Amino acid sequence: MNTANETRFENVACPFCGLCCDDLTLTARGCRVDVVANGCELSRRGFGAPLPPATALARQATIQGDTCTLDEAIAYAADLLRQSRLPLFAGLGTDVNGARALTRMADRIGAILDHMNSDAMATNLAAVQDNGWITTTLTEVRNRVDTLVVFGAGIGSGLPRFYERCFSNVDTLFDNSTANRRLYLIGDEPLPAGVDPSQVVRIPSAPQNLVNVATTLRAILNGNTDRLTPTDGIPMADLLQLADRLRQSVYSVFTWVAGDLDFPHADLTIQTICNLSRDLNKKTRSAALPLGGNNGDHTFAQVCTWQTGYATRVNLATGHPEYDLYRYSAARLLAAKHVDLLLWVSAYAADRLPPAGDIPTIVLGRASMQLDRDPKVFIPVATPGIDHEGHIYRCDGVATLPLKKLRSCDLPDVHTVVSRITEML
Amino acid sequence: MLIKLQSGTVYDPTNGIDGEVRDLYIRAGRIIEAPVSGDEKCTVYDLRGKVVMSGGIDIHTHIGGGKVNIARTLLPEFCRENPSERHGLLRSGCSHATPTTLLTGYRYAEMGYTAAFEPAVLPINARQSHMEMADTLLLDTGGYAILGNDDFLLRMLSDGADQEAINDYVAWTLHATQCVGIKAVNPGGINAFKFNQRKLDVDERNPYYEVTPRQIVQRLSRALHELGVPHPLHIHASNLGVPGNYRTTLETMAAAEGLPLHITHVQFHSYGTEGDRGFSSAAAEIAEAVNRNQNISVDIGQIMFGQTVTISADTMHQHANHRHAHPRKWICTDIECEAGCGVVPFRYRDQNFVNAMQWAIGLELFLMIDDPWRVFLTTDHPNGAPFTSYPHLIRLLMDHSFREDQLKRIHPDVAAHSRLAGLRRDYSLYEIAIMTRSGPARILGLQDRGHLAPGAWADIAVYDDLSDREAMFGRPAYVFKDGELVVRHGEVCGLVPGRTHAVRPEFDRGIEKHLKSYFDRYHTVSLDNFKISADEMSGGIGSEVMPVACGRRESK
Repeated sequence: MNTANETRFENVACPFCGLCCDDLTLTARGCRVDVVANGCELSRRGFGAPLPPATALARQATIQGDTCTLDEAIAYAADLLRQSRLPLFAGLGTDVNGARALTRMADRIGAILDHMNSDAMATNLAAVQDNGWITTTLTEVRNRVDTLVVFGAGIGSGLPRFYERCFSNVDTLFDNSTANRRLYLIGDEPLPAGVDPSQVVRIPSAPQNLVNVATTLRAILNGNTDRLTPTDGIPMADLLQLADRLRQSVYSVFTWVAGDLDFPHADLTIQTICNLSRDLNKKTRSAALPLGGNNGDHTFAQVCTWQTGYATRVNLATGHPEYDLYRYSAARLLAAKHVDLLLWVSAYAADRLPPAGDIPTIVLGRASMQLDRDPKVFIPVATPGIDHEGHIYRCDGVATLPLKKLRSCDLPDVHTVVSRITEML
Repeated sequence: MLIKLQSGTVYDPTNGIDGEVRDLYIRAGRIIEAPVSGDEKCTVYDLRGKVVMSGGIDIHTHIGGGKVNIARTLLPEFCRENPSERHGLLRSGCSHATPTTLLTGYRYAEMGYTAAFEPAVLPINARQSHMEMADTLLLDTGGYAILGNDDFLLRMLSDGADQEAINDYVAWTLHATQCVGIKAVNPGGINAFKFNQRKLDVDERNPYYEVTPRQIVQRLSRALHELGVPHPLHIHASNLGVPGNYRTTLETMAAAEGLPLHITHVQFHSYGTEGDRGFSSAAAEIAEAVNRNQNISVDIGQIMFGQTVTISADTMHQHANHRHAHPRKWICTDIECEAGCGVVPFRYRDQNFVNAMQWAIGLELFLMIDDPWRVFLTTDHPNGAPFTSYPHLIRLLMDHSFREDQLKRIHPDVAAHSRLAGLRRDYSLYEIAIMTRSGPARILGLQDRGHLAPGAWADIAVYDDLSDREAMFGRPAYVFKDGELVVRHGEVCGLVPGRTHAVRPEFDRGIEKHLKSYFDRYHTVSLDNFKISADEMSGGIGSEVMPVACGRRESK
């Protein structure tokens, strides 16, 4: 719908968190984009970030701080990549076609790939690759969950509409009133806005203690309580009550945000949670739901997995894909000076900057990105879902949402820039 | 440019050509009549003594979509053990049970295949399936959308919807997912598992909807028939892997009430309960039923010994089978009120009685089903074995003495409990061409693929006529895709993107009113974003659609 130069878009998918809600209404007037319905803090910030005027420096590509044409920037970036002995591609905040192009170029020249959210991804990957899990997806949760157990925090802040869409929704397929649902918050998750407090049970736990809470709960459910020695910080009464509830639940869901479990060996906490849920399936139904994500992390992981076999932290320099969640971490590689060139991509978030350091750097960044030092090359790129069409993965990994183009700007997308660089290699 | 394939021995069952020495001409990607003028510049391939067939078409192979990526994610050790170097045109990757997409294309082409169909496209995951298949160069692809456990259909059935409405929903799904067929997996059973039911027989009611698998098979097979969709309902029957399930399979055949029905990986559904171990072959009963019922087609889902990974939407049975996981880790997922996904790595052992019997049962089925037009060569990749074992499987079918040697190597009780030793049939090259080319093209409705008459796309495989059929089919001399030379001496030498086969049956778009209300109330994706357009296919997804014609919609 167009009125007075304002274009209205319905059912817009939002790429600014792992939920990828696609029921947003936005308006675009020139380069200004506003969320007018079904937004949240993250979507309003993501869509609303102003595009610098076309005349501003931030809309121009630069070589060592001096403005240049896009062609010059691409040619110079290709030169740097050609001369590099071991380049690192990091950040990698892009859409499906950007990820395809980056993975292809990495294979061509032998680079290492590491997404900016790999620490969180690695926590889940370590858990699933050791053990497997039983999981579920957002629509199943919306319709089926009767007991939702949150470990840790980070849902309300990182996926603001999760409870609204999957816990406090009005309609369900199976006439099971959502008023009978129970939400257990184990850890520091704040009481979600919009959830009736009478449905919520809070079980305090420090993050590092979550694994003990989950282990105790599992022991109770498996009838191994005789060997339990109650220790400080284990709220036995609460856990006994929760275990009762879980045994009677027809569809319990256990969730966490891996990025929030920011302590050593958090994968073991996740494994324990998943084993707990898996045990319940001997008699009833239960599933885990890994939440979280942003900046195209799930998108990159999917593409990289089908093209190389691995989700992230892949080294293509030896001629075939090698995967190591520890060795190929960007932070480690940069600290050890094992790489001699950094290509940093962040097309969604202007504030996800390349790591500090003196390594020669090529940046493909959202146009409003403010860098604290001049990289070798800066190419402002279009943002998927605002400036160009694309695809993004939701955090449950099954839904790929189409992203819309909401306005016309003259910025190239990541796929185009990377493909053009690749052609010159 | 004109290409002449000179004096090859041609096997083209679609056109009744059984080993005749002929010349073929290719121009602009298609096979043409012999040109009248002889002075056009022409590249000539001397194919004397070589076998010429159209490119292979795999009717059932899990090569794209979320479940394949879930398996890759679960099993980095498979990838680590099977790396493939980049060289020349070719990307690096890893192979074995769930190869990376690029390698999937290379490996298929290196066997002379030019098309492969992904049989388990969850509608919510259709974009991913098509994206992965778009990144599988050298192959045309297509998908079968999964219905039969989705709450929308089960609600319709439970509410007594008429057939016309079911037809509209099936057609809408085919359009929305850009698919070429419909598959039902353990009809109603995946849904029942979400209600904690662990088993569902053909006439057992879903605990919530009270709909039976039989009703689902009936209604979906009728819908596809009435819509004129060439490929019949592709059914993964109830009770996969359960001893005694051959009765379920016979009941499932009967549920189609004479309408066309394709029973997939039938090997996993041909088990009896005889013998001390309570596990036996019912291949004879199944083969007899297939021979008798002209409306039934099957693919086998042959198993091979070794490590693989099983991936299936059938969470009910994958969850039950998790105790066999090797290595001991597995994934099950409930998905979007549509279906699910279960990934269980598995090692088939030749000294394990049950595994060895599964191997024999698959071969018995191949050898006891008379009509090669109604049986297709599959391993249900990767569930029975990786697709790269096809040349070995072809040798097993074409060489009974080789088969007998293999039989002697496996669990010693199998020979006594199987009819395999007594089956002396050897498939001919003509029959192999039917089973891997002409038959799949016919049952998918592909008019200009799977044969070599003028007008057909020039998807052509040329093999050296070796007595070792495994060596022969494992290393084609040449493969042409859309008229381009893509394989020479068994190695990829050119890259051509594939396209997507999809059907476009007519339907009443009024169904969208009901769907929109359903999506708005219950789903977490909007109806508009659920649907994939043809423009999106050729644009962001990266694979152009080739529409497959539907028959005329039948009047009621």
